[in-house]
Amino acid sequence: MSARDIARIAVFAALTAGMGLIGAISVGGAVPITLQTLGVMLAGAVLGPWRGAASMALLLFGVAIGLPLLAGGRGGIGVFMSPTAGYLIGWVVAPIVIGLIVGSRPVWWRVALGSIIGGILVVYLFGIPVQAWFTELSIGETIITSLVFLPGDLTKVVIATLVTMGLYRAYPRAFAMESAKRAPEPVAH
Amino acid sequence: MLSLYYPAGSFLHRMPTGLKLALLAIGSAALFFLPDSYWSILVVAIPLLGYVLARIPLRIMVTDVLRMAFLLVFLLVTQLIFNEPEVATTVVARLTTIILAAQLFTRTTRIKHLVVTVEKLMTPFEPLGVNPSKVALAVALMLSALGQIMGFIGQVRDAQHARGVRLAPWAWVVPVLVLSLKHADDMADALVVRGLD
Repeated sequence: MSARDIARIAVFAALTAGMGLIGAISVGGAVPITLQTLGVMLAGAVLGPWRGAASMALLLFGVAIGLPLLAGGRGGIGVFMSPTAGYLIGWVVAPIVIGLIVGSRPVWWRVALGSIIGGILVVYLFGIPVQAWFTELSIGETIITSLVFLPGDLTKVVIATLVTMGLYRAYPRAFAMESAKRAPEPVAH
Repeated sequence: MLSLYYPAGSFLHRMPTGLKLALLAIGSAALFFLPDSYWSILVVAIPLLGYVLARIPLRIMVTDVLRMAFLLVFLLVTQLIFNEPEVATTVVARLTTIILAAQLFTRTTRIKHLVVTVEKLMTPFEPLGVNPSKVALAVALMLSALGQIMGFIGQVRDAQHARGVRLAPWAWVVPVLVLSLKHADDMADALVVRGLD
């Protein structure tokens, strides 16, 4: 793994943390609505499956060792022993699915499809059973309470798609399957 | 921005970071054996006592508690709808205790010490192909990038305000992503120059 890969992985982990800290749509809840899942979707769409997954794993590693990187400044190993734990595991798997669906050159419908399947379905698939277990509710009851978050998640799919396509126009270097092999360009300041 | 560390020089501040992490992990796991009863509310006193022993001002403790107030009220309400009040009490008390204890860890641990601990923690995984110094490097880069990115968000929002642009509330995301990815490339170049590739 090159220095460039590590830097991008680190920056996407930080971006996702930052999206939680500014708490744009955080209204609280057992599983708060935050922009962080937007970071998860973007990691897969922009960095590709493996670096995207690595960036989320790095973020969770930071959380596990106690850094307050989740929405509202939460962190610590305890988060992995709480109702949100499953969703967090889903964050690592989601970019793999999104990245594989999007491929090396983003097309809007692929980004949207990837974000729905990876960013919503996969995350819920991991999240709901764990939440049900922790909160001592049935799977059905948990799915019903989780429906509250669906409109927010669909909004994030739209934002992720617009942002990914916008980024592709503004800074195509970002999508860089080829970036790993690119020689460092002179730093222009 | 990131440093929630509060220097007070208590025994919790001086305790080795690895030991503190282990206590946090074991303590959090132990809470899941708590029986369902109204008495479980008492465990919340443990991290609160920790704050006092760590000599962290009341003001900061109150901030940390208030930060999670929303979450707890929501959780309590949904619990009371679906569960017995004893179960609801235990679930909420457990979560409050874990979050406060994790916060206390962050309040009493320097990032510098954390990075060294990360490197040590990862050493046993070296035979599996994990490079401990690369993991520690990635954690350090993530922390420094976070400070930068929060700055970028401020800059971009200011610039959009100054131009009187009325855009969607998330219009800052693309410029912030571009600045952040350029920052990543700059960091990578700096690392390559230093021979870390």
